[in-house]
Amino acid sequence: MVYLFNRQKVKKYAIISYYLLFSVFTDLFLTPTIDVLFKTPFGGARIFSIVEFSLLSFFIFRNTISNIKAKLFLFGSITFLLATLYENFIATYNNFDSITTGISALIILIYSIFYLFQIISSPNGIPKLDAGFTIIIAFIIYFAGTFFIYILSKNNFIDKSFQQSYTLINSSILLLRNIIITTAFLQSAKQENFNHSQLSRIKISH
Amino acid sequence: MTLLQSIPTSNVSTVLFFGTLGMLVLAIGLVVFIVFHQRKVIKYQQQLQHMEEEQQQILLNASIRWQEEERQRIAADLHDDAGPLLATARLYLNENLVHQEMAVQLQSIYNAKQIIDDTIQLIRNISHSLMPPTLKNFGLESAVNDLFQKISGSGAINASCRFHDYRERLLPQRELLIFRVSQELVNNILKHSNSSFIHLTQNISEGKFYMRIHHDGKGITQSDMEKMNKTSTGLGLKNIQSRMKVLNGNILFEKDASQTFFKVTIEMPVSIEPNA
Repeated sequence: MVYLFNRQKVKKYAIISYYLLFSVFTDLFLTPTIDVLFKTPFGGARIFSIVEFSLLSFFIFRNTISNIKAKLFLFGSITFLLATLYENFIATYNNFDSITTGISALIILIYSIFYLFQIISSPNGIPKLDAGFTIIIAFIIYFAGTFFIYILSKNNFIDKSFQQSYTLINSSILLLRNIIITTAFLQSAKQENFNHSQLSRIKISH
Repeated sequence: MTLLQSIPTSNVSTVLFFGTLGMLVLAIGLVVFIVFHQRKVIKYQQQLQHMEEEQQQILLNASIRWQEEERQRIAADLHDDAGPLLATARLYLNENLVHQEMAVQLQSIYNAKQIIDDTIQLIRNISHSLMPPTLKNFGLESAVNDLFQKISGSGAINASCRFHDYRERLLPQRELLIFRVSQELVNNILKHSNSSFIHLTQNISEGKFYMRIHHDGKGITQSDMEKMNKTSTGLGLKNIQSRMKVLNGNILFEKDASQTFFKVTIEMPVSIEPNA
């Protein structure tokens, strides 16, 4: 919603809003449709894992400036691809894709730490903690918080008490992530407003 | 990951609880570290900026004080020397002169002429001290040579200088600034060092102008200079620094490797950068 109302001001972070829209679409339409059509309860989640990794990798890649980023992202993508191929074609198909989500979470966490390291060693001196930084923080918390629950889901999802824990942890972390991302969008919109007013002032004074 | 998946069902809750908590603590710790690091960097940058501003203020004050002292010196020269001389000349040329005898009149006019000549010489000296004519007409090399010859001529100290590469003159304003810096340095050496010789050399290398002064007396090193920068003393040295800043150059005070000489090196770009 914040994105839709401030589309022009936060278009830098459009990928994140597409990601959020896709997650809503997955929960509401994709998962039920695949479940009904193909009789695979986790088919939607598997597609979501791939799209999630691709969008987030692209977002961090675009926001990172480093000589070795191409190598790092290539290595991460190949690892993820191998894990996905193994999970979807070799391992059991009718189950939670713990390997893909676990590997995906670890790789995104590594990318995020790489991004944070780049912010710390900023050549300008002062690390810039902008909306991009806040979004990365949201994803670090999200992947760190859901890492264990996703890893353990493959063998324990049938357990009722585990399902309760899953719902509790997953929902809380998702809520926290979405609040932080909303804050980031608002922060970006505010910054854009400020930049715009500064620019107008310069134009008027000229 | 496979190991985690094979945990017995009874232990799953414990692993889930502590694992998730541990990961969250690590993630939040990372975020807190970044935020604190950023604040620390901002604080450090602010301190640095504050120190730079303070230093600029000290240099500005030194420059203003120097200008005031220079004005006072010129005012004193004019008031104490030129003023009485002109007043005396006026006495010789008073209204009663027309009633005097011809011989007295001629004597008075002659005396007045002498005094006016002295005054002209005095004003010329003041003017030369403000802008040496040798520097204006013949350049830095001749002006520095002239200065060193005068010092050596006094017999108090052995002074020599040598310009190795000064085929093209620098801009007049830059020449004047360098001359003032070398004059101030030589003055300081004469006043405080008690040395038996001063030797100045000049060279140009890789687009940079170098001037080095050696002396065997009591000198200062870069750390002494930095200490002095933090205090309000050393007006002359602060003036040298502000001039070097205008020249976009550096000055380095050091003791020779042999520990017997002190040397001062001036370094600056030969050509002026467009943003300098």
